[in-house]
Amino acid sequence: MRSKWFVISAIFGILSFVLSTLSIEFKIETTTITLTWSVIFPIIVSLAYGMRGAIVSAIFGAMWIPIILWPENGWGLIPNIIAYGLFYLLIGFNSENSNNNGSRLRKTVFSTIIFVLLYLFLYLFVFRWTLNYTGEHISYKTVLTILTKNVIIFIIVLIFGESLLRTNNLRKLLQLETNIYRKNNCKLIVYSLLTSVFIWGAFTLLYQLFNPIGTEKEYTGLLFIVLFFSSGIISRWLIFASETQIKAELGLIEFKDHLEDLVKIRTRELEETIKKLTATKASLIQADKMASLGTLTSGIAHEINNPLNFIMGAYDGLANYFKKHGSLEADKTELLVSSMNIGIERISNIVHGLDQFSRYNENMDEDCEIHSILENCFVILNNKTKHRISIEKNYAQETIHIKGNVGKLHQTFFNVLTNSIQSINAKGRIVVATKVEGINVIIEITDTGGGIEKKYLEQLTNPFFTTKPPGEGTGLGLSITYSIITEHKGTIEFKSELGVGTTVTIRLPYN
Amino acid sequence: MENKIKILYVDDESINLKLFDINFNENYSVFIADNGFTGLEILENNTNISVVISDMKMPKMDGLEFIRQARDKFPQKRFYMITGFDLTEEIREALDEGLIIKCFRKPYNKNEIEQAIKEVI
Repeated sequence: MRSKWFVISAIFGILSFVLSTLSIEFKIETTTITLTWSVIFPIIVSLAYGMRGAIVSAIFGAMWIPIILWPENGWGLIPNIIAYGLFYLLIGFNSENSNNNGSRLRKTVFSTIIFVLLYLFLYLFVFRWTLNYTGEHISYKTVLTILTKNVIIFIIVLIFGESLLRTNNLRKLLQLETNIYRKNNCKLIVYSLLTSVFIWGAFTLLYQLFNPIGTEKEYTGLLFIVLFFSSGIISRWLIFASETQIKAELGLIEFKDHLEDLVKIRTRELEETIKKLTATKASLIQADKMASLGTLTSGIAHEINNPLNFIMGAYDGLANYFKKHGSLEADKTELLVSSMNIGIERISNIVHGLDQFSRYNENMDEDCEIHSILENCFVILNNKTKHRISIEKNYAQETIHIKGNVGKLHQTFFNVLTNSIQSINAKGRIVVATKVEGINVIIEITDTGGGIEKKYLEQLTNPFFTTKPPGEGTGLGLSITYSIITEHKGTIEFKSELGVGTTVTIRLPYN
Repeated sequence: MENKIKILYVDDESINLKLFDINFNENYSVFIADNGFTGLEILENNTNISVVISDMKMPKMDGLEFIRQARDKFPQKRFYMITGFDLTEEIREALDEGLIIKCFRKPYNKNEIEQAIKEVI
């Protein structure tokens, strides 16, 4: 597509060149030739690129006016250069929008080189070669000077134009990234023609004002009209010819933009899915673990409870026996018998706690007594805290019952407490506070452990996130805790300071 | 002796039966059975038994099945369950529909059982 535009431009370049050469045959001044080049090209650009191109070209074309009045004709090349610069910029910009192959700068530089070579060729051979050339003699030196000047100016224009086109506001203002052909083709032709007529009219008028009418100049005017209309119409025709292609291309651009959005959306969706999948995987692993643990512990519980029942019966019987018949060493037998009772009670508590902890079902309307759940956790974790960590309980005075899943709430507190215990290196303290605040039950677990680095705080509940070495932590504890609490419509919050400790606040709805 | 409350205790573990008998026969008149079928037989023969306590997990006929059958025949008797498991779904249902009055846990607590019996008689 880009090359097509380039061909179109080249055709009009050659056309204008031929016409200007012809105009020399008709004994037109060099100024007029320059005018031809300066005006025709922006007009062609405007026609090829539509309304906005026309306006921009008109502005650049208008810059030509004060300079044409300059006594030295060579300076008339400056607006020419500017117009060319703009023209190539537009081409470059257009190709940037339509084609991502190669940078705009490279294309522009390429166009510039062609332009310079064309000009050089024109001045060195064509103008000099023309027999009826009536203007002043142009030496190689002059041509080189003009060329050097022009190149410098062109580069300045390029840099200026490039930076302008890179500013978002200008792009928006010129709507360079939107398509104008789509809207209304007929309207576009009329606009383009009118604009060009206006530009051309203004030029001729000004030109005539400063240069009294002569035969040659009238002829020049006619030539301009012919030049303008023919090039304009051919240009439009060519655009129409390639309209389908333009549309397809623009459709492609839009599709590309849309595709990028689509890709973004899909990527986001994919990320969501991966996240969900990870979470599902985590909860599946956990569910599986808990289910088998549940079966195991309830089996074990039953098997332990039965012999425990024997011992209980034996204890009862013995205690009763000694009560009835007395003992020769009452102190001793009492101690022996009561130790049995204490032992039974402790084992029973552990078994019960374990059973509660690993109870696996999906009921959400079980009666959960927060304090006893916490107590069960302490029983199970007892060997990890004994002689090392003091546990301080600031429980609410009333017993707190909420509706939920007993087993899962056990896991929740167990996980948080386990983390607290693991964060304490040698000796430390864990404070567990419960209170009812409005419609919430608040359970706050504070430890004097190592604390959590700030950067990890947000990742804590991500499945499989762990700072422990491989094999020591699955990274599932807190993610499961989080999902259980969410299931109970509660929240969990972490506050931590390195070296000071961590406070985990769990809020559950009180009902 | 005659005014002692009569209790039937059903459990498949013979040690449990013996110990229950030893520990409760002072205040109650204790009947024991090591399975549900024997339990039903005893109930047929001793209609003045007022309290029935059964273990949950037993071979062939589990506690609930035994109580269900017994209750069909003797609806005025008080039925209790004792189990080494936590409260299961079916025990909860049995409690809800009033099939059993209470479910005791193993290891048993003598006071709890005596208290429960006292409450209903």
